[in-house]
Amino acid sequence: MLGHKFTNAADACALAHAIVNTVREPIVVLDQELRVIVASRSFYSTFKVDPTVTEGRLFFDLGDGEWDIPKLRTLLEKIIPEHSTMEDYDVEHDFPSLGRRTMCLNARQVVYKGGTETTILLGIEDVTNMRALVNQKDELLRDKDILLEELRHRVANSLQIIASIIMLKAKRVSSDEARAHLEDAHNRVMSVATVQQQLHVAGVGRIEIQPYLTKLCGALAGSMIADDRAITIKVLGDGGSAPCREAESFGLIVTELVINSLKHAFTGAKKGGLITVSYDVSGGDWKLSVADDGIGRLPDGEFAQPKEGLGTGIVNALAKQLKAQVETTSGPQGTSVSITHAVFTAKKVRAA
Amino acid sequence: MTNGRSPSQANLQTVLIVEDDQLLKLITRDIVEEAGFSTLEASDADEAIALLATRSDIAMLLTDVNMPGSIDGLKLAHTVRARWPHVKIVVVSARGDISTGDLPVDSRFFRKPYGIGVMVSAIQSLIGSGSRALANRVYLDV
Repeated sequence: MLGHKFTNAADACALAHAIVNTVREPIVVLDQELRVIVASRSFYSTFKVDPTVTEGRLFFDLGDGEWDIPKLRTLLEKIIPEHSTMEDYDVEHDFPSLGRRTMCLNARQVVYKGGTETTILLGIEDVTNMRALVNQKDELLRDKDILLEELRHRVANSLQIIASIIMLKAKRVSSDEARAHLEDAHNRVMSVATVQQQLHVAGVGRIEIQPYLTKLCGALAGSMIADDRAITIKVLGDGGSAPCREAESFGLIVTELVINSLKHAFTGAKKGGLITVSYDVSGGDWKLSVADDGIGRLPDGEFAQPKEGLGTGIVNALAKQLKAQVETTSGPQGTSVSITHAVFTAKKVRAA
Repeated sequence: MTNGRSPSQANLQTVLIVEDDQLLKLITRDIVEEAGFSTLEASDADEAIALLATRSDIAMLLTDVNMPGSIDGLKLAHTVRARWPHVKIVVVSARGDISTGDLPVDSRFFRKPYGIGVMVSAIQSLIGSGSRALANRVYLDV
């Protein structure tokens, strides 16, 4: 483009000089031997050097040898033979006039039309403040992670203390009713802790439900099925994801229902068995269910799992929050509780 | 090198609890004693190693991971496995990044908060049912 504007070389050269002297970042033009042909005004003012002691000298001999770095030398020396470029090479140095600074160097070969001469254009950018800000940002992010981990650690320890005190108290009270209430409180603390733990592992934003429920059930099995109980928890489903808040509700529902099964389904002659947790999605609809193959009904015909109570109330409240319906079936094959969310599109009635 | 002695199973009834949080240590001691075992306590790995070097009745190490001192609970667990191979190991932590690969072989891991029932069950399956009367009680978390 510029070739069409300028018919003589002197004008083009004047423009090039003007550009070099206008840009704020120091620029140096080097010959094939890496001697300084010319440098920008900003180079001289930034590094407090004079053109008379700069032009004609090898770039590596400038100043107090701050540019005499073996790797930089190698990079610059191969630009012309390999027609390569040098990008974002940082030099950290105590510059006599500037103090400790980080300079980012970029260089490329300039090939002139019809000529045999070639030069290297070397740009130098002071990135000290920018690098310091990046380092500061990285440090702050690290601090944030450490603080979050510390907070999580403290919460887990506090929940351990609360849960343990409640359970130890439960072991020592003489009233069966008081013991049952304390054990129930202990289980609530544990279920909230387990869900929070698994949500933390799953991350933020949308949560992949299948791996989240698998890990949650693994944790429930690990922390709530004693070594002498042959009970397995299996998670099935076809994937799907949900926002963190919904995932938290799913987790609390599953925990509540799994605890119910562990507590009521495998008693008497039925000591072990299988609990199946499944989550299926179809468009905007989903179905979460927890089924066990334990004793669905007691010998007197009553449901083995309570139809009323705090646990049922929690599941119903969470289902309502999720705009879902709860359905419980119970029989000789065990108990199954399904929470279904179905989207129904209302059809407009048109007049005939 | 193994400095550990090989005491007879009969006197292996003590659980060494290593926890720097005093309240958690107290609670853990209660859980273990309720399960029917004697306890010894240390606040860091160095104290724990000193106790292991002088006591022959320690059947199990129950250690937290994040602790002050020269090494953390995971390194302590590996040290104990190497020097006192007869000592059973249970590691507890609130940290979410610990997997079985980080633990010595034949050791158990519980993420905090853990249920008392599973902890008691694990201790009993590792070193027996305990010698005290309370050991006969049934512990279930659910």
